[in-house]
Amino acid sequence: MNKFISISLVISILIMPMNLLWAADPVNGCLDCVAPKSTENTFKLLCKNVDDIVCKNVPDSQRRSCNEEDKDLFSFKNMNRNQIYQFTAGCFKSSITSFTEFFTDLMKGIWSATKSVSELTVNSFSKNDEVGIWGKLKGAYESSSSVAADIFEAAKSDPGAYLEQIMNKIAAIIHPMIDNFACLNPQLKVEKSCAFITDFLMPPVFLASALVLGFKGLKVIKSARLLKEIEATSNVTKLSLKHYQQHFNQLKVLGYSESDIDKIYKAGKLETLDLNALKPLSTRDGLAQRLSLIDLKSDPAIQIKKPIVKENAFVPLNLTKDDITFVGLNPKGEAYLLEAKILERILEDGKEIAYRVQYIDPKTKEVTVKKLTNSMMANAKVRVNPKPSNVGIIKDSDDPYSEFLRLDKEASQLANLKKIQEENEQSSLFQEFMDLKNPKTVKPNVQYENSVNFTNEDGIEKYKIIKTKSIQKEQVPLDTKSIGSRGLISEQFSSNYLTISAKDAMGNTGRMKAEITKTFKDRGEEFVIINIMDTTSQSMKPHTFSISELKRMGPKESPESEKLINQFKKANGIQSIDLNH
Amino acid sequence: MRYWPILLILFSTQLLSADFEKVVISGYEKEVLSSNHLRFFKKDKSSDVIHLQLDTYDSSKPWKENSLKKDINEMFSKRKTMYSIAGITQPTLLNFELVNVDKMINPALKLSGSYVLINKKKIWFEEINLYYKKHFLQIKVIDQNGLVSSKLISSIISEIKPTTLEVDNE
Repeated sequence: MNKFISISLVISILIMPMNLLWAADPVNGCLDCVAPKSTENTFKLLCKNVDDIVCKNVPDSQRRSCNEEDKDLFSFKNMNRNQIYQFTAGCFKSSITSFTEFFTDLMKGIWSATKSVSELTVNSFSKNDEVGIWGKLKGAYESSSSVAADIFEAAKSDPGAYLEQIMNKIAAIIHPMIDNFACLNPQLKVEKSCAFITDFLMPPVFLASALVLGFKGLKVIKSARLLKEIEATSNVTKLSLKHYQQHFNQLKVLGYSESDIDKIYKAGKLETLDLNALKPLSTRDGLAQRLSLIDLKSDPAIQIKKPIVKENAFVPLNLTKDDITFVGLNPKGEAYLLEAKILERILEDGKEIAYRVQYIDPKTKEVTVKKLTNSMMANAKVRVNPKPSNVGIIKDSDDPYSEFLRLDKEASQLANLKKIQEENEQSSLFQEFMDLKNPKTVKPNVQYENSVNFTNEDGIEKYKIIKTKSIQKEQVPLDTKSIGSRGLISEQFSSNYLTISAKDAMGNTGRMKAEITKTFKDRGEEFVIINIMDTTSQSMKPHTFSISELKRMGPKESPESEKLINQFKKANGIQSIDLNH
Repeated sequence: MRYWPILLILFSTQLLSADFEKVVISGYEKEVLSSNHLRFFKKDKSSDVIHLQLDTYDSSKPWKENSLKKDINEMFSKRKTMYSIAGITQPTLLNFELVNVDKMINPALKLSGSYVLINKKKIWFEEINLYYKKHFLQIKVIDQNGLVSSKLISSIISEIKPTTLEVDNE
């Protein structure tokens, strides 16, 4: 019965805008259409109307009976959009009258479908209640009838405005359904219809769903949206929504992405998958299992999309305890900025010789695991000292960022960067680009020795992409406690660098050259962000200061600044702080 | 609760049964939208129209006073969704109440409210849902000029005599 309801629902959804189209363009109306008796069920009602248009050239002996409720009503496979339009436009003469009835059925169907999704996927909801959470809802049919009456009057009073408005809303779901559902087997068609319905309902119904279904219910509805991603393939093993949901949840726990699950499903492996044998993706075995499940080699589409990155072209830009940022170059010389998580440090004779890292491929969005060796980095003229005390220190002479900047100077580089910006949402560095109001207007206008400054056309926002280049050998990483206060910065903020020195709690003198990475305006006030070593996490961390504040403080300490600094020193247990150009 | 004396009188009078489609309301033209949906309008195209609909419901879960507010809130949330799908905005529930009706299996639910159409016209509605064993009869008055008077609903009920309606499978 559910199946029938769902199929009817799909048909109802398909037909509803058809009525609207007819009304919008009565010229295309089908004069021979006979409005069926309204006492018949929706399937027959629609079938009889559709039949004479879609199936008119089909011999009677081959024509499907409208009594065959479980069979597909029609196929859009061989119809172009115009034909579909003609079909829909001519479908129902009794448009506005029938529409009310259809709307009522549609609303009931949507409610039933939502109920169906909930019952299938949320076992915990209805253990003691056969009807499930849906049974707790009252007034479903009363509401369907009531709103249908309102819709009828709305459409009748101003059909043009009404139809235009509602068409926009319906088109969002109707076209994907027309395009994608034609080749689906009935099982998938039902599943997809549920997904589309829930998807369709999501924006306006989100709060209502929260009221009705509660938090768990919302999660179910949201995850059901994933089904829309399932492509129609003839060899996909049938899998019920319930099973899909169960598999989905377990795979997510193991660390599989939605994209992974989709690929496994499309490969027909989901139903036969032994979930108990799978290891988490945080383990080596788990990663190997994932590769075999996704079977990249068998998917030419994935192979094409996967960027080919030369292994010896990794250029580390930043290395911390947990992460490494590097530039990968493909054979075309296009640069990919990647931020990878260090999964494992590979040791040999007590020395770190390589890193196994994981990053999100900017092209495929796949989580990729790669082994980066010191030799690869050496080939890229980079020296990385893996000792924690020196993490993040890169000598000027080996500055890998200059390599990046060299590429960056080329005009084509900007396009690549923008491409990366779109594709690599995970990259913190490129997140800076994301902050721009209109990335298309970004043009490099100033180049510093080691930086690129981007300014919007309106000149308001400035972005400098700079990596900390130099930390003198004698420097001791400064505890950030001694930095995060006011008045500690020299007036040299106007250039690229700020020099800061202080004594830490151990009495060691530290002096470091911090670099401005970004300036921005907020409500008329200009701010600067500098990168300073955080000795706790052994990573470079940005700190934000107000420029007006810095100017006010100046290099020569005013009484006010002295007061502030003394307060700061006292608060942080710092023995002395002085400013240095 | 102000309806109950009228309704008590109306429903306590057992009259001859009549088909739903044969229902008439004096002063209004009838349009049969379907076998279970009638629309009544005035010849002079006055602003008010009446919709009568008959449909099934889950009689095991009647409206109850102690949970009415919560249930109505949930139901109206769903209606808001329906309205939003249909491009109707600002649905507002102005009043709701249960009305005990003699010889009806469950109390009747009365609602009144308003919404705004795409063309910015504000519409008011008043509806009452009368419950049989398996079916409910919905009487809904829609008006552009303001909330319809309770007298109109009462007079409609007195005229159509809901208890006399012959409903299939009851």
